Amino acid sequence: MNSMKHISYIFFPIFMLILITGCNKKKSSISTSTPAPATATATANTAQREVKQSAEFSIIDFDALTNCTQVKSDSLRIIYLDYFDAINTGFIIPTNRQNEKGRFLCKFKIKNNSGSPKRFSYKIFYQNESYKFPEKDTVNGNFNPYAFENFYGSWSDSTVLFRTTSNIPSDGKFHVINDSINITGNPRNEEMCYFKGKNNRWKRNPRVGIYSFLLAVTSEENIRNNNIPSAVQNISLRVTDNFIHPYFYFKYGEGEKLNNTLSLISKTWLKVVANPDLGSGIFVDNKQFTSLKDNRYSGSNCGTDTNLFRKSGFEQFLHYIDASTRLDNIPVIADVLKDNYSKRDYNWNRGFYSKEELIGTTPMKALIPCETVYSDPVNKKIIIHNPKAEPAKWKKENVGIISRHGLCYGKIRVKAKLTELLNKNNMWNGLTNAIWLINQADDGKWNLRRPCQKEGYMATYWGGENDKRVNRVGYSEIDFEILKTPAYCPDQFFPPLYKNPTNNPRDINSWNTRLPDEITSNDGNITVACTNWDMACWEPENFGAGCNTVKYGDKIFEAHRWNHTYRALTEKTPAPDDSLFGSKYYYFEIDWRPEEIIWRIGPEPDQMHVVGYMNNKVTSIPNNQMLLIVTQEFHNTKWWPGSPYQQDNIPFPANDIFGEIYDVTIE
Amino acid sequence: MKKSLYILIFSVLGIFYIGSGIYFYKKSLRRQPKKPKESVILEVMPLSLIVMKELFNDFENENSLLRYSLSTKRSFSGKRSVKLDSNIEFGAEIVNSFSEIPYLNNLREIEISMKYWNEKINGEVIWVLEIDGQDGKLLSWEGDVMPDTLNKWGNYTVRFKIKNDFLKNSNRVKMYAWNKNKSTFYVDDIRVQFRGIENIYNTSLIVNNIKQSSFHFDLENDSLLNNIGSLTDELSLSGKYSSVMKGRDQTSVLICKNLERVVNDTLRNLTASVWIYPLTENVNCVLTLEVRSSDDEQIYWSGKSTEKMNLKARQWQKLNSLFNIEPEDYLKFNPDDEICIYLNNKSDATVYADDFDVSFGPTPSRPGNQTIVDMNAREGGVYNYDRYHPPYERSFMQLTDIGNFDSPFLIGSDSIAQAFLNPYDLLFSGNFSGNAVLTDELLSINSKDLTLFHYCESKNRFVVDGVIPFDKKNFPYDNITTGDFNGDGKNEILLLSSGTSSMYSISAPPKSSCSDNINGISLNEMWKGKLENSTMKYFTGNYLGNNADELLLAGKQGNIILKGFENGTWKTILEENVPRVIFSDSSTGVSIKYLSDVHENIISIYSEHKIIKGQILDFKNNKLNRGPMPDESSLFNFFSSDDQLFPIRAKNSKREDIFSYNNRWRFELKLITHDKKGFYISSIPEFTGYVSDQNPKYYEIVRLVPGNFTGNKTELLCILRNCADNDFDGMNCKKFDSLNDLPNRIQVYSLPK
Repeated sequence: MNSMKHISYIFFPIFMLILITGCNKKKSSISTSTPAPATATATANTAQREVKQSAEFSIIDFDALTNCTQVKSDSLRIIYLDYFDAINTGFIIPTNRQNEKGRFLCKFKIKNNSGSPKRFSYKIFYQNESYKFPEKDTVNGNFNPYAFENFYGSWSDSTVLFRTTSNIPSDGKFHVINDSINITGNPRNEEMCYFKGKNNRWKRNPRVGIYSFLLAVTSEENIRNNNIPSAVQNISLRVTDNFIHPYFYFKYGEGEKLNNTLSLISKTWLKVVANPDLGSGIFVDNKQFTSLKDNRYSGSNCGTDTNLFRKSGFEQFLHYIDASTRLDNIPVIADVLKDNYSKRDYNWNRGFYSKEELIGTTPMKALIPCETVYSDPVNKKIIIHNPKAEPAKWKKENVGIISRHGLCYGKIRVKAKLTELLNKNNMWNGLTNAIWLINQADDGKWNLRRPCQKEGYMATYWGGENDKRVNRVGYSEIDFEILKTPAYCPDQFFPPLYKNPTNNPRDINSWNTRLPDEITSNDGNITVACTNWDMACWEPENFGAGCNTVKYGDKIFEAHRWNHTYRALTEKTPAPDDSLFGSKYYYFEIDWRPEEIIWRIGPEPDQMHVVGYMNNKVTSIPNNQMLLIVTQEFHNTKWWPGSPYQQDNIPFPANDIFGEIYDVTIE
Repeated sequence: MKKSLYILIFSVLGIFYIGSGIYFYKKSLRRQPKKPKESVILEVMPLSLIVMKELFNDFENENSLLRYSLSTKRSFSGKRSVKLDSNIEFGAEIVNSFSEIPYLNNLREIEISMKYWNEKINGEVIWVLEIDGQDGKLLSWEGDVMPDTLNKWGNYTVRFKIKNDFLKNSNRVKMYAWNKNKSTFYVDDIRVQFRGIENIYNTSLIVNNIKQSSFHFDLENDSLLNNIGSLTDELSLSGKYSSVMKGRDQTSVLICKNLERVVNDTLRNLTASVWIYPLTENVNCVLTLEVRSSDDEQIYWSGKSTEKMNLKARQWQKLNSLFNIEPEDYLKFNPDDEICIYLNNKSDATVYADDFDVSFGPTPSRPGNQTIVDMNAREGGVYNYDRYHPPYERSFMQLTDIGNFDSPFLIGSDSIAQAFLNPYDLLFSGNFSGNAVLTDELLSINSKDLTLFHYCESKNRFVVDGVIPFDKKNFPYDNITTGDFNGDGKNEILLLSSGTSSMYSISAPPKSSCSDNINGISLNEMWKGKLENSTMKYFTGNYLGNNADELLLAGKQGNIILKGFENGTWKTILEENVPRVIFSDSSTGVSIKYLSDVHENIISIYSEHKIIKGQILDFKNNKLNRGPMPDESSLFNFFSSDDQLFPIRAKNSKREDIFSYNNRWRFELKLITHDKKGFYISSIPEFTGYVSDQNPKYYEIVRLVPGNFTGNKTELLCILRNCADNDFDGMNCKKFDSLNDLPNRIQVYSLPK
């Protein structure tokens, strides 16, 4: 795996070009005189009029996407995931709502060179190329076992092996073969996705990103004589516990050397993008609410009904409230963002309330469905709000939404205007704006991370240092958490020295203590904390505790882990609150790749800048299916050592605190 | 070979010798000499109240012969002591000018300890402390009788508290033995410690037993530091001085504290920071925490190194560190252990250190027992307020515009800026001129003048009705109270004096304009004479339900006298004895319409055996009834005996509630109401409408004057001041301090209706 790590997906097209050029050298191929379209990518251009030839036949002009009309470029088609009913079926690409047949029509041309009419056998495969491990180990040329994790497939009915053409006359002409294919979840029909006999394809949804299509054609004799392994003909089969990757088999493996066997990459590629309609409603999971009968906020666009179940991309997220988040909060209700709330207000309230006056509580979660989340069908946005507290109804209530369709990998970009965190006095309102990913339904073994090869993972995300270690674990989390807290690194600045107040009402300076320079110099900034929960898997070669640098281009990030059993690695970057949450909107992007995670923020998609970077040398990158969550949360600041303001000393909100999510794009 | 061996041996010995030298030199820097021969400053070091200066004399110095009657017959240490006998009445004198004491304003006491020997029982030797003024005038004299030892050396220690009034550089303190009976008496080894509060930036007081635990050291003053030899003026981050470490194993100044000085129990953690200026890059310094026992044994050490921090050369860079001390370590600590923070240079480069900050222990915990409200345990998330337990409901007082542009003056408009009312002035509200029918006038009395103000609605500001000279020579008083004692609808001013008391009314022309300083305002004497005992605690109110107010005088002995003003003189209406405790110095009270909507009662709050109790006095049919409220302490839980209590008209009722103000621990207002079950807090009033975050409760001095100044509502006139005095004790401020972000103000807030 490590040998593959240097391959960056930025250079993917070049890589493909080299790959295909390599194939051309091994097979006798004939290029036709048809000029390559000038705008096509290099990879596709080369493949476009590529002729593959064997003793018995030649193939040319493989196009897997003849009916895919939405064009990104000459060689690239684009399709958006159809969310309707995908909760039941998993994503199907395309659905019959997207084209007439619900399938991509494929065609290729074949010429019989054998001298007598013949049938030929063929099969079409596809593979997600954006988020994959290279099939071939770049060091030893062998199969890269991590490529088994790649999302590849063929016809969804795995019992359909190689299909056979009609009798092709040996007339020196190319004959068109038509077929079709779609991309579905669990393409290898793996048992782990089955429940009570049903193949829950959503448990291994198709990945977003760019797909290639591979045509493999062989002689009937090769099929009849089992010269092609059954695990290639039927990709759901295994040989000694392992699948056989068809791309490797036909491009680099035995299939590449097999007589009268040719493979050809489709001249058109497919880009799959997820862009859920935020106005399509919010589903409510009735298991999570105890007061479902209270439907005063439920309606056609938020609730539990079947239609919403089938079409909604998001549901109301209810936080798990850990008892350790208990607050003994000052009995003050104020609108920190609007009431001129100041550091002096904070200091007085910190100093001059006795324990009996405090309000014991934990951050709350919604009790009534749909009260704090709203899907706007007109403007196609989701509005969330932390509800206000009232005298005798003191609460700090978290709010959020969670996507319902798990995905593995992708560039997840959220356009949002979440609440401002600091007021004009740069006083924090106690909220953490979070845009994060979490593993989907960890209640089963179907969504475990790959084994940790060194000591294993910590078994639970909440356990202590003495938690047992396990080979595989379901928990994964990748976070943007944005709040008022200092950086842990570099080490010399942590922790900031906060003067202890002595709370003498006759001396303002005794209770109105100043924050240290390193905090006030960042007064208008909040901290963008980028975290990967790797469950303390020690496999990465540079796994470490404390502050360690990670380079990304010319940027250097300081990654921090409290100790060797701490389950998360965090990088923090200060950013102006006014920009992130004071502007009309801002973009937050988690670029989750098989071997690295890149966190970016920016005012527009083409003006993003990197605020966090980790790779598999410093942290274990999750490979299980995850969901997107957008929340405004009240954290216990004990989770964030060194924070200048403690949650207990921040007032309860006097007004609803709104956040709006305008767009979610995963590509 | 042999030569090499010698070189090696001598090298090792040399290194050992040099190392030892460095070690002992360092130690000598840290622990400076403590016992010089003359009365000189030894060192400045912290103790419980910290020792600001110490003098010691063992009388071994020959030069002292002229000053002391030295004797070699006896001595506790060395060869000499001071002898007093039948010919010497005064001796062993030590004189020190206050100008020689650093941070004089922080001085709180002087402790003198010595060895002494007397040869006679009942010799009556008195140790005296005198404070003299600039001209030698005796300002203070205190003496303490030294016990007998009878022919053996004994220990004698005495402490004298020093009042703030005497803390002037021009004063001097003189300490000596007064051999009153002229017996034979020896004194040796006298140690004098001038003790005071620490010179710290945070606070000059320790409140609620919270220890001062944050310290900033800019190294501009060498007091409270050890290893002051490292101080240099070569460069600095702030001020003029820093601490320099010129090479390996040099240490910076040491900041040392006794454990009991900085934490309430033991030290579990400590945060420290220091600015570092290395002359070369990547130096290794260690910010060190060291705890040493009272016998100088190191019992804990921890440090944070800069080794991997890539410090840059010739730049000030900050180093922060948190020291978490494990239980197996901190359980070994004793209160008198010494904690030292310093920077240790582990490189050969020269390193400067400046501006140390140290914060001992965690943030002080809040007072109180435990949180009462648990919102997670409540269905529907709604808490039903408990009338007897916090948290209480909040109400809001709105700022009223009195046209003074929110200034420190009562009148700050029409190009006038006047009436910078002093919060220590006597201030009353009421109808003094007869012109205030629906509103109240404000009467201010200071040592010179009596000034009457009223709020002019058309001008939307206060105006000065007039100023009347009111010096104490012509108007002697111990206390002043006001009330409508003659029932004419105007308030009179009653000057209570241990000599002759007097009563005045204010005459003013009928209110016709809003001009300032109208002509014709005057003070008319209505009565002059003797009251039973004008130093008794007094209350005024309409206790009988007639048109006039009465005066109630309450003695500490338990006698109360109710007096009414009839036919130009005060007459006793009723006299009775009640338990004296209810009118002690530590009691408070208020006259309100509590049991009746016609006449007032006195609610008296007092403390008995640290339990707050109360009584309600009701005068009915010329008879005093104590009660009917039973003397149940729980009913008065919401009061303190140092509360200031004001009556306030109750909601939809002619009866009154109580407005309570206390600033003992924090600014605290309470609106206390009552029903058949007794008193309870109906709300905690909060201020609203103020500019920025200039909440009145943040001021160091808040003087509240209740009244109805601008309309038909209850208002609070708030005089808001901060104090510039370093030794401000909350009682008297000599110099007010208008902070930029919390400027002095006079404001009026209307109470919640």
